[in-house]
Amino acid sequence: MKIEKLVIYGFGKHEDVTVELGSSINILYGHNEAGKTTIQQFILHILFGFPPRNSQFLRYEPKSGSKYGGQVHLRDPLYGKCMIERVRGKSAGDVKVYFENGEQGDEKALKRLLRQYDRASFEAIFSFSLLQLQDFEKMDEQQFSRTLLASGTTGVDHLLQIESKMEKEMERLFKKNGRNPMLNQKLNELNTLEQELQEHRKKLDHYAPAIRRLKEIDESLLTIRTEMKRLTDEVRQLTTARQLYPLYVEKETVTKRLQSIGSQQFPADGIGRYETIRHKLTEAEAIVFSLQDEMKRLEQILEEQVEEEKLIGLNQLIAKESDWHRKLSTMTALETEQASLLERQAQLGSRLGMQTPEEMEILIRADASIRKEEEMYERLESLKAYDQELVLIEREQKRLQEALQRISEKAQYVTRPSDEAIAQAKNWPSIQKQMAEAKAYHAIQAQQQQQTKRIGMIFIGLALLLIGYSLINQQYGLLFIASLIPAVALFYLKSRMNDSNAQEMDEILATYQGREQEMTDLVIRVESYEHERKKLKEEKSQLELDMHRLQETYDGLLVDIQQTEQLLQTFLTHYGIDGLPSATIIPELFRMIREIQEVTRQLTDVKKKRAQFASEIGQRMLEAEAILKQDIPREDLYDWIRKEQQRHLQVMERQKAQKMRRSELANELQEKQTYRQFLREQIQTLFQEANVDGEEAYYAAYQIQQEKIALMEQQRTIDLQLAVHGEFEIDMSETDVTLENSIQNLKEVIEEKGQDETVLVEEKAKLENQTTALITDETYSQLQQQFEVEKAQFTELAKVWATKKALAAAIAQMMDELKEKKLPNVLAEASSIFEKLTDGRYASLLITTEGTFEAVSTFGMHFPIIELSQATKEQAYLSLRLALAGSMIETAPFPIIMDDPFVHFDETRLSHIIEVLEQSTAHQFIYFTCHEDMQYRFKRAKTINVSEIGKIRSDK
Amino acid sequence: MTNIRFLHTADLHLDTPFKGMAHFPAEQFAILKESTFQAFSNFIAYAVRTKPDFIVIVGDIYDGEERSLRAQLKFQEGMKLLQKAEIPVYLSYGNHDHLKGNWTRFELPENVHVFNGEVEEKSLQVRGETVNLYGFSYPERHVRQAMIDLYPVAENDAFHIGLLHGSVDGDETHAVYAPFTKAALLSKRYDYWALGHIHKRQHLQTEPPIVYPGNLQGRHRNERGVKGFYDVTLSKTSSDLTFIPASAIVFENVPVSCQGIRHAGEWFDLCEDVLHAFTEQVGAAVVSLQMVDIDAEADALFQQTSEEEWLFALRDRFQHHSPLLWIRAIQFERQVIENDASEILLNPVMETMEHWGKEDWETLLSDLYQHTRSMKYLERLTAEEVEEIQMEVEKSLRIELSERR
Repeated sequence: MKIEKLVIYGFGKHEDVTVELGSSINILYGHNEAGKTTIQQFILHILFGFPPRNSQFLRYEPKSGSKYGGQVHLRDPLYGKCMIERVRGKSAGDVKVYFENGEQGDEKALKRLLRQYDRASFEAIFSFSLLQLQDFEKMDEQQFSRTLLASGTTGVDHLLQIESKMEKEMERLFKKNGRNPMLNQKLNELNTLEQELQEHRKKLDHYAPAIRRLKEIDESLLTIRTEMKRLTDEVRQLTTARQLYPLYVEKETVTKRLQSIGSQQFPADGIGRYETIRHKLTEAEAIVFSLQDEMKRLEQILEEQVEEEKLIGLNQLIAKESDWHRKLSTMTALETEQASLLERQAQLGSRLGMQTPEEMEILIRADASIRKEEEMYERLESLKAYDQELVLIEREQKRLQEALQRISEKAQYVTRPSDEAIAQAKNWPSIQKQMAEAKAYHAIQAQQQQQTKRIGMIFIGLALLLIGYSLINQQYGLLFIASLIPAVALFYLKSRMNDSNAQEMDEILATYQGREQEMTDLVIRVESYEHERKKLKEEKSQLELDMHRLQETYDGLLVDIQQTEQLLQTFLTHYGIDGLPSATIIPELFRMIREIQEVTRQLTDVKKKRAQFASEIGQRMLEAEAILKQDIPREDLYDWIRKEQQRHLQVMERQKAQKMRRSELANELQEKQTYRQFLREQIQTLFQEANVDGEEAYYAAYQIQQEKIALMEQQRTIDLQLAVHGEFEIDMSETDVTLENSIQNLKEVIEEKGQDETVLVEEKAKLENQTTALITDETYSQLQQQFEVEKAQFTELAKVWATKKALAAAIAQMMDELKEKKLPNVLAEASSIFEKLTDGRYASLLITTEGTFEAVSTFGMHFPIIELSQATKEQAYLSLRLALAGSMIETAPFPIIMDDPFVHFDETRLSHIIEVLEQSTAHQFIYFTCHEDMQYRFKRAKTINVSEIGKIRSDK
Repeated sequence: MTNIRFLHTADLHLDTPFKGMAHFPAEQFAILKESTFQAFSNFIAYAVRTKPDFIVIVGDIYDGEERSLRAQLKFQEGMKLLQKAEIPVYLSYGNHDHLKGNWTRFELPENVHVFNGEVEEKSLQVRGETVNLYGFSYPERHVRQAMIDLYPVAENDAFHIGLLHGSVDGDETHAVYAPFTKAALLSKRYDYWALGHIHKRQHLQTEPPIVYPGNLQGRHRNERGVKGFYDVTLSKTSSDLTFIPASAIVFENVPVSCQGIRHAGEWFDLCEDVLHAFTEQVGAAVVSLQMVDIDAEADALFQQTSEEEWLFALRDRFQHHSPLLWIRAIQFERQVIENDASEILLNPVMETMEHWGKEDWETLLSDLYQHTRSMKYLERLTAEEVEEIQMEVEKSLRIELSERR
């Protein structure tokens, strides 16, 4: 295929341009930006379609807005002259192919024309540039080698990927000895299913034998059942014989017996009648006996004695019953009283501190009379009086002492006057004497008056006491006396007040008082001092005298008290009391003593009374016991007596009744005895009728009569039974036992047969079930269908596997062919080109077993590609590409587009490559370069100056 | 002259499992299984209703040596019905139910006349006419002998009918089934040749009729179409054959034109319409759908999902269809995809494969197909299947390459 002409409508910078190309080498020269690449892209775009708008490729749509696209005119070895026109349309542009013969085509035709190559595949083989080479430089050895290989067989990688994918998928589907892949699993399932099928099929094999056996069983059953029927009939015969046999025997016996009995007489309803009479007789006899018994008993009762005396005694005792009970209750009361008295006695004794009976005895015996009591009170009174007096004295003593005290105090305050004054005062002794006397007398009088007043007070108190006492005790005589006392006292006092001495003194004083006034100061002073002193002295001694007297009285009193107390002590000692208790409780003690003595006396009384009652009660008991002839508890005495009386009364009553009864019984007995005799005679008559002489014989006769009747009935029944079976031969030589044995034997045989039958019937039922199940069981066909389904799935999967296997194998085979046939050819060609290019420096290019490329020098040295120089590397690459393109000239005779790939070549090598290119005429070369001199290197090349393309147009 | 009327059937294959029913749901097995019985029942019912003079059954009543007892029972019941209707039956056993098989035969009623292992003649009277029937049962699985040579030549005016279970000489794979030639049959001068063994209904000759009635019930995808038997009326001068459909399930390829289909929904509706119309016509069916007239848009639609997915989706739609409708497969008949730049890679691969012969294929696939464990479940690949595989290879290679673009 050679491109003859490019007609550019509008593409990148080119518009409305036509480029004519030569059939072999075309050199498109131009400076940078002249539009070389645009032309190159134009060719590819028109052939393979405009790239999509968003793709990495430029679309080269003209900026000027002129028509996008153009034409490529070419000549193809197969299709001849063609013109491809692509213009703006759908994304890839609208394309038309015009063939030489006038046919038109679209994309499809273009595809055919381009041998189904796409742009990538095309570029990979037929288009190369320095850029691609530079890319290679960066790659490592392996990648480099792969790219070299892949560059000639584009998409091989894809195929290899697909192959390995298929291999993997196959492994997932099936492994020869695998377990998990789908087919292996299915295989297992199928195997299992098949085994299951086999098992079911084996079950079906049971059908035929089962059917055969069923037939056999039916035959056996028929035989057994016939035999059983025959045996059963025989048994029935024998059973009848056995049933009838005893009847015959019985009939014979009955007949014989009847004959032996002969004729027998017996009164009609003989037994009934006899037994009625007999019964009555027994009754009558029983009554007679019981009457006799009763009589005997009555006689016995009547023999009992009645104790009338005892009854009288008892009656007397009962008459005294109330007296008895009174005594008993009094006794009880006395006992209670005695107890309470004893308790009181003990209580008082302990209160008085009596510890021993002896002390007690003394106490009881002691005199506690009124006189003694008075004596006691007298003593106590005097003691009390002494005490009161003592108190009065003590009070007086105290008063005197106080007076003494006052005097001594006064004495201290009296100051002694001067001696002169004393002397002067001596002149006045007489008067003074009189005056002093008068004054002293005055003083005494005053004192006496004081005393009188005191006595008066005493009288009044006494009178008041008496009045109070008399009012309380309502003794009006005493009241009168009391009222007299103040009157007497008043009189007495009056008489004392009218003393004549006093009047006289007063008169003296009054007379001399006027004259003394003159000597007042002195006399008074001396005299008063003297007087005072004297008076004090006198007073003091007076007082001391009084004191002394009082002391004497006091001492006398103390003696009196002592004596009185001594007497009280002695008094108490008589009652067994030691020590002197306080005066107040002594009367209480005396009262208690008297009470205890009272209690003791009462006790003695009680004891005396009790003794008396006890003897009376004892007397009564003796009486009662004499009558009752029995020891009786005292409490129940009268119960017993009343009971005894009651009993005696009853006995008397009873005897009276029994006597009446006895005479009644005697009559009745007579009557019954007569009746008994009558019955005995009747029995005798019955015996005579039966021609027997006693009861036993009579009954025997009756038995025989009964037997006869039964036998006749039996005979009739047997005849009837025998009649049912009609005439029946009985071998009387057989016995029941032999018959029974025969029947038993037969029955055993039948039973055995029956068992056989049951076994067979069961087996039959089982087999019938089995066969029915086998016939109706759908599992087997279900399994068969399932097996088929599984098998179909297996087959399907197997086909999937086969598809993958075939694809993988086809790819592998193709690749092998590629490697083993095509590649060596390409390599050989490449080697020869490479040798030429390197001017014989290298002999060949080869692929190592590892898949990497190596260059071999003429001396046999091997160099990995990476070790070659840049230019040599490029030359190796070029050699491979050219060889590859050359090898495909048949299937893909496309032009080779080159973009300045020789820049690194030295002169020699450049000329070599040009030589090579010029020699390979099969391909059209379209060579883009910016090196001007390149156009002169080629001998047979058509040169097109790209820079001038536009100029040509613009020239137009 | 009196006419005689009889029914001619063969290849009942009672209780046969259906083949190639991959992924068929187990819960619907019963429908498949019943189909052979149903077809047989249809046949018996027709006979009882129309009362033919007699019936001939030419071999392969049962599917195999492991025939189910149930099949025998059903057959026996059918025969009893015919006995009740007083219809005599003449039958011979074929390669599938040959005499040597070790099984218990159910007792057949007296109206059934069975040919034994050697060619024999049986006669009956039909309204004063004598009918002679000739035939034999397969004494064993394979009968290589041309049994036809043992059939007597007809010599009188009676009706002569030959029963022969076998195949025309020449087909290598069927040489073991009493091979015969048409000329040999014609030479016997019979009035009717009742053939069996070939499941496809066909007439080898119109006058006198030499007829394969086909089987009563198709059992796999290659036994397509409505199946049944022949109702034959013969006179000495003419014959009249009526085909009576009996099959319960029909296997068929159903084309669906996909012109203008753009969306999946449209496609589903289309398939449903086509299939509803189809089942209305034939009843229960197992179909292969063939997508034809696939234009670019339809193709683009189908490319969206794998073919398997389309199949499963469509099966779902007919899961509970009544009568039974099982979509066995969907075939997409595509034109070669245009504008495919991968040709350059595809072609060499396919070319390489086209060079492979039968043996190459067998060697290639021996790992699985000759594997000791799996070979018994895999039948040898036919040329047709190899071609299918090649097409599949191309398809998957295209897909793989386009994915790598």
